[in-house]
Amino acid sequence: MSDALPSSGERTSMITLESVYHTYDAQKPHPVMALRGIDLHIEQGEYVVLIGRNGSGKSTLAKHLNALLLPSQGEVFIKGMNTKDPQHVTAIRHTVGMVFQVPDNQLVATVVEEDVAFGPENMGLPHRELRERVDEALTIVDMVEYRDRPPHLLSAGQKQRVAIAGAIAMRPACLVLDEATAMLDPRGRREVLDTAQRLHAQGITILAITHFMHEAVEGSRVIVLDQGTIAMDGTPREVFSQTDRLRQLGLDVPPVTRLAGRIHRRQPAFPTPLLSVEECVEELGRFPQSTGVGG
Amino acid sequence: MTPVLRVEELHHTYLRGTPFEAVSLRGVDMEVHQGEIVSIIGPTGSGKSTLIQHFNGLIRPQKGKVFVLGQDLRDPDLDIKGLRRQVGMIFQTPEQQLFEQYVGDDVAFGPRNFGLGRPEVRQRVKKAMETVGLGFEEFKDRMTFSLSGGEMRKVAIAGVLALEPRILIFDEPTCGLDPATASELLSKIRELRDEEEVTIILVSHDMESVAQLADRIYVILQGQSILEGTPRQIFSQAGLLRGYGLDAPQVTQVMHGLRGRGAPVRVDLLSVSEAEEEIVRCFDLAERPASQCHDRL
Amino acid sequence: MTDYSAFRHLTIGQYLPYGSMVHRLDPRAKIVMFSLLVAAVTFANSYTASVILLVVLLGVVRLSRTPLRFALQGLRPALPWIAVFALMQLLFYRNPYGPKACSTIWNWGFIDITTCSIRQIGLMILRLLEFMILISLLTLTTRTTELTHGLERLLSPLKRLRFPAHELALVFAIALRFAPTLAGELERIMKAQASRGADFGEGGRLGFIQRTRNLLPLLVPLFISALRRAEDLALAMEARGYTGGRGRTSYLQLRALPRDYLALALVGAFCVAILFSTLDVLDGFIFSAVSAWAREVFFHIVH
Repeated sequence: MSDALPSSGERTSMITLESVYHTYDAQKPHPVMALRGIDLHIEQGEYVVLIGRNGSGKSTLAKHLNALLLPSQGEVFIKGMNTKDPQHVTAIRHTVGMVFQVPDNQLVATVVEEDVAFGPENMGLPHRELRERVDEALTIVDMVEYRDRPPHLLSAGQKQRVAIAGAIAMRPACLVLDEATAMLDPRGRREVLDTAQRLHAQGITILAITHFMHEAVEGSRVIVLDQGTIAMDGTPREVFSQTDRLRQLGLDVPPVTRLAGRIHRRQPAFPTPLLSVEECVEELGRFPQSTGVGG
Repeated sequence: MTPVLRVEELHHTYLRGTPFEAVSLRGVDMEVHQGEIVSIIGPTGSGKSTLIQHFNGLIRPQKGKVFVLGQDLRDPDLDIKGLRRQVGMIFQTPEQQLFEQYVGDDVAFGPRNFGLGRPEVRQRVKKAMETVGLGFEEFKDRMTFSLSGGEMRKVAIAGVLALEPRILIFDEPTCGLDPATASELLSKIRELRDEEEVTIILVSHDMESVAQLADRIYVILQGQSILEGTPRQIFSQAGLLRGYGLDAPQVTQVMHGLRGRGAPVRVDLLSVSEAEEEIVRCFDLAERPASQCHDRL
Repeated sequence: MTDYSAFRHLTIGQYLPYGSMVHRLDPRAKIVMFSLLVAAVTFANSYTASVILLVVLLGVVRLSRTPLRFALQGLRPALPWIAVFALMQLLFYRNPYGPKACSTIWNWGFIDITTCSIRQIGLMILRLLEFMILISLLTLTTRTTELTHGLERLLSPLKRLRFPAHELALVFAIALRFAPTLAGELERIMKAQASRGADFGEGGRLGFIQRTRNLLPLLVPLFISALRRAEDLALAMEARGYTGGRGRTSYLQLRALPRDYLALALVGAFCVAILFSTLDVLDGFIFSAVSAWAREVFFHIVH
């Protein structure tokens, strides 16, 4: 039975997970339950950051979103399409694009522009459309001048941008970044995050999975995953204000947030949590400087 | 006191004489003393990798001098293998070097290469595994490739620690680790210096951990050592660093931001506590701030 | 002293964009011409034919504006092997032409060095040289992506016979894509293991068996890494909607122009001529010249 027509209002969101469980190695002596009852709705246009320690189930959850994995129990709907239905798999993968952690292991062709064309080629698009999409995608990720380079000569950050181009060339409504910044240096990370912001500004739903707390501020919603369940779900400020809970979950807040927290304890009018260096400087700037201390 | 490691005007060019020639080092000077934790920072492509590969003889000095533990690395009769026993190198994502079926065997690979007797090897393996937090009895007979990523990294590190080197070089030790595991690893690194007096050289992009751990920092840019100093000295020059594509720890950035607005705050601060104290010192927090919004949150 | 970084810059298979007319030929035509020339080189059995082939090939190298040293680059690692083969031929060649056809230059026990063995060696060296130039020509003037697409298109008629042309071309392309990556990884692994005291025969003090055993710390991690990459890549390909060759279109378009057909015709005619000619006009001349020279050399060595 296919769920081609959404029967309830809930299933019109971009992504819906209903009581999703996933067990690895179910038949073997030591099965691992990676997801334990996830209920989640993500709407079109959101920028959601999914955070959790290693082993929390983040990657497993990501792979359910484009039917790379199917739930052992529960249902996953992408724009109303059930991932368990084989007839929908292609459409689902055109709707949700994914970028993975290791930049090298996503690039399949010997030349950048050919790799970006891989997805559209799979879609069977006519030649002119292929060229259009490749040009468009490369422009968005700012890699046009590298179009005829071989991938192994690019930096890790550049490779990731090519991987992103390859995903968005399929014009997905949603892009999942599965720990896409984990192996990058600070500059590479910045390049990828800026690209994600650009895409978000164009209306693409972004789901960024990471274990870096300071990346949580990129989005408007933070979901904290712990041992296969959703432990926290709110705006970055809401989540960061619960520092004790975060520490319990093996996570921490960025140093600037900790600093803001401490100052707040001395002066309750000082806002907390603060998420960035700029915010902190801005807020402190409102206070008068002490007199008599070389001021 | 003579430094355990000294580099003088080191130059290096890859694939000299071929069309793929690339200059990597253009005159690096460096000095490391016994028991120090020295960090090398710099943007990608600055030559950090090339530099550290000189320290255990993987690359020999083409031009310039390198002295490690009293030995001149230009000496053609240098006992390279002996050097590698004293200078341990832990590469980026070291778990990629694992090959033995059982954890214990892989950790023993290093000591065995140096012809140590079985009881000695066993003892070293045990000690190394305990140091990284892998129980000897529990893990020695586990299948190497059935472990988690973090555990495999610990096995790889133990494999180098088992050589009991006097100098340890870490290349991006926390790359790919989640914050909790990263923090655990970094405190183990400090322990190694504190308890075993191992000299540590740390190459890293993570400024927060560099600021915490390092006694001194060298900034490498385009194959040259352009800055050297304590973390306080280096990070108080945030503007300069930003020009090089490097960042300072977050709280130091805050102090620089405040200084930029005319506040006479110190900028050579590294930790949250220090920053808090300085802010309290320089700002009158008792006063209500100008143009505040009560319902900010 | 080992320079580990040399692995990353293997030039067999490297495309050098000199933009000559050879570069601009359709890859399918080039692959067919390559095959025809390989056949010609293999079956040419006279000095004359071989020399003509060599001259023609060198001419094509000139036409492609590639510096000759690149074309011969692949020869360098093979030189010790060539020397060994040459020596084996020299010492153990059995003359099939009968004792009258060849004159003995030197004889010692069962080792019989005759003019015929010299001839064979000469031919062998010429052939090797020509093969090297041919392969280099093909890979230095054709992008790998053109090669794989060209191969796939050429073989696609065989799809009707259930021949997996698309899959083969994809395998080939992915292998080429990852070759430098894996070479870089091998370098990293070698350095890591050497840092732990592993000996890779630096200084050549190790016996053959020991050296092979020492390869495990290199091969196992490399193999495992390759498997992991394959798994990741398969996942990424699936995520991008790959479901096999059916229904796929192609970004790279190949168009055969008249000049491709012309080149193909020329080369085809040339190869046929070489193969079916009995040109050994020069053979006698070269033969006696080389033999005389060889005799002199041996006399000087032996006496």
